[in-house]
Amino acid sequence: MEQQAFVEHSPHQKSSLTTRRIMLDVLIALAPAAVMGCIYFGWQALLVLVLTVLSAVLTEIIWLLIRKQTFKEIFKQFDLTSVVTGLLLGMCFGSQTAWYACILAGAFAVGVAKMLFGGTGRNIVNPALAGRIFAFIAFPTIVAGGWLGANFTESAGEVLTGATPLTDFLTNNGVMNTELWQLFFGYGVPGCIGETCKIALLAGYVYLIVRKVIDWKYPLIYIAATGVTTMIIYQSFEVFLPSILSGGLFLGAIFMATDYVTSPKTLWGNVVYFLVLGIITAVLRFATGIEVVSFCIFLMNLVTPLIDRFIRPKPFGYVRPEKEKTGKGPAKEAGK
Amino acid sequence: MKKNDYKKIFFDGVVANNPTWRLVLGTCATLALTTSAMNGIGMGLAVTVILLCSNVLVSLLRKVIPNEVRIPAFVLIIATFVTVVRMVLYAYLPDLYDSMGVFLPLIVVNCIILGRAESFASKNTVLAAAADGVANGIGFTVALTIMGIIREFLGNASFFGIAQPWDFKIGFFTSSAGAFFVYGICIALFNFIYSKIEISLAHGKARARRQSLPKSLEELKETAQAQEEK
Amino acid sequence: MKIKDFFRSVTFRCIVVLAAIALLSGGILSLLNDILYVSDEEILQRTLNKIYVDEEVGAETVSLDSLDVENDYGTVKNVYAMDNGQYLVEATGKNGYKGGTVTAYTAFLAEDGALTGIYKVVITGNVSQSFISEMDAEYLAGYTTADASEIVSGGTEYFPTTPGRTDYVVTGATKVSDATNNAVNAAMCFLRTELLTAGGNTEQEA
Repeated sequence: MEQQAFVEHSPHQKSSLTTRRIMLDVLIALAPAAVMGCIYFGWQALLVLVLTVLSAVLTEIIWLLIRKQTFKEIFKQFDLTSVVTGLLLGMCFGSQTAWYACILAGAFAVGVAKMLFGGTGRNIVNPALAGRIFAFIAFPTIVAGGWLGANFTESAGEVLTGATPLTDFLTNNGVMNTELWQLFFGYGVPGCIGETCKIALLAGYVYLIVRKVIDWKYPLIYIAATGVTTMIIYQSFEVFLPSILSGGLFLGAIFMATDYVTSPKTLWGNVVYFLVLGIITAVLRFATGIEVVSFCIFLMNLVTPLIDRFIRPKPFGYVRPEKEKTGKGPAKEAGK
Repeated sequence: MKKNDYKKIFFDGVVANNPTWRLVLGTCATLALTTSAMNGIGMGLAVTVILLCSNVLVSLLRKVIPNEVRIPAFVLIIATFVTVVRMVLYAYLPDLYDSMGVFLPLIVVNCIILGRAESFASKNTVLAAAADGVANGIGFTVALTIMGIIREFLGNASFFGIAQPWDFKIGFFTSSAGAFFVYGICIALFNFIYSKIEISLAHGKARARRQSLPKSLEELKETAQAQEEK
Repeated sequence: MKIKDFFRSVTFRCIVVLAAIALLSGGILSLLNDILYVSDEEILQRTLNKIYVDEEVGAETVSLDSLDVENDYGTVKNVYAMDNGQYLVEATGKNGYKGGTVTAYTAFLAEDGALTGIYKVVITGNVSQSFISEMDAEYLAGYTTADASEIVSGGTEYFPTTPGRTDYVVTGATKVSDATNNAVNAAMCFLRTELLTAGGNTEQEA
């Protein structure tokens, strides 16, 4: 009688945790902020988001086609990372960004910062931030120049110059002229598409914690460190809330700094990473007077391998050997 | 020296050991002076002239300079020629002098010139050293000009100083970040092209060797007899 | 070592070779320096060619011996009275980025001993102004437009440099435009207070 033997290699039991599912969770978490951004800034914001997502996805597909993969293969392995990159990139832009800046930034973000280094999981810096910084350097007047006034205010649709609450706060030496509740809900506040409505971002944060995509501690460490350092710099307690509620801090802390590929792998490594991130964000904001969250996260992404080198994960099943009573113990312990 | 040796020197200088794209030497001058094509050509020609002169003089003096002080001696010679070029440029081409700025005196410590003096000119005859100097200079100039054209075209919407009809400038490419980016892409592309050239050259050599082998036992005997009769 | 050994050793040969190369190149360079010498008049002529692009204008140097060249905005280095009635002033303006300065030539139009306008401004140097390229031709042309003459003709105001202004400034290069404005201001201040005070041109042969 014939016997049928099934041969499979491990793993034999798989969970539903795939890259695609995680990216889908991130997209769902970003949705409230994106929707609120479009409500506040109108159809131009929607156009910016659509253009960046399209250009990011098309860049990845064209790259893979040049590498001689067929359409079927591409769609089979399509994890939604480039969609997330495009959406995050779009939310970093103001709604007045020109169409060509969006397309070029999307192509740069996915093409150079991700595909050139080896694709998903091999980028050395957050691709959305790379695209944003590229657009900032390449088209400074378009990306960071005049901001469109938000809807529901008198200046809706007008171009204001450099008047985000954060730059206001920094030039006025720590005095915030916008109401705190306005900052929290993003009502009538000019700024980047995704960064104004803090409560939508917080909703996304809660969703990501529930789905176990990110660790709840790290964004809190980042935001708290920024606030505390700003308090130390300005020597007053009042600046804590205005400093953390203005600018792209929430968006950066929740969605960009927690990217798996570019943040450290251990608990203490991440604590160090986010703590230092908070400190240098506050210091550089004070020193330069512009929004520096993207630059700081970019900088710390480059430092992550260094952190990983010194703060190593404990190997599976490792038991620390007992120190002898006489003489020294083993020279260098692998810390957790 | 045989003609083939000169061909090899020129091929090495321009393609195989292109100082900018294969050996990555003299990057400081490269990154700073590729902001426009004219700057690139000017710098390249200045370096070519200085390479030629210093290689010739080093080669002439190679038996005289003791081994222990060869680097200071080379630097003295190169500095002399750089000063001469500076004076000539200041008198006759002041615009180029202004646009090169501090990078003109920095040619003294340009790794390309010192490197060629150390590794080739001090060990070879005058004509070979001169050819090597010219070849490396041409390689450097071509590399700089191509990168200058790219950066000027994308970052300043002009071609050799002639403004183009469209006004679309990407400021990224005139900044230093863009310099590194364009430099990296050019190195990658050139090495890719060069690996193809190398493969085809290797195929050609293998084919030539195969054809020069004797085809049968009789031929082998004939050649052996011919040699005995000599 | 004995003296004779020293003269035969490698050290002596090194010193001799280096000294010989140095002397020889020194000689050649001084010779070439004489041949390729660029005089001060030539340098002035080059600057004049940049300002008066297609015309030949003669210039007479104005002596600055008894005049105060320092003022609140900077220092005046050279003043030339041009044949077409204009005044060309080379001045250095301070308060630039990182405390640096910008040096510029300003050609002033003058009538009857009073300034009536600015013909052209050309930047010739700076100290540690990394964004000097932002002061492009468009910005410099702003000094010569009709609005500028309000400040210049018979007036007592200067180009604004305090923070928070909206004109005569380039975003992202505020301090550099400060220093550039100050270079023009220093020239204006000097001309108004020192040279054109008693209602008449004070021209002196250089």
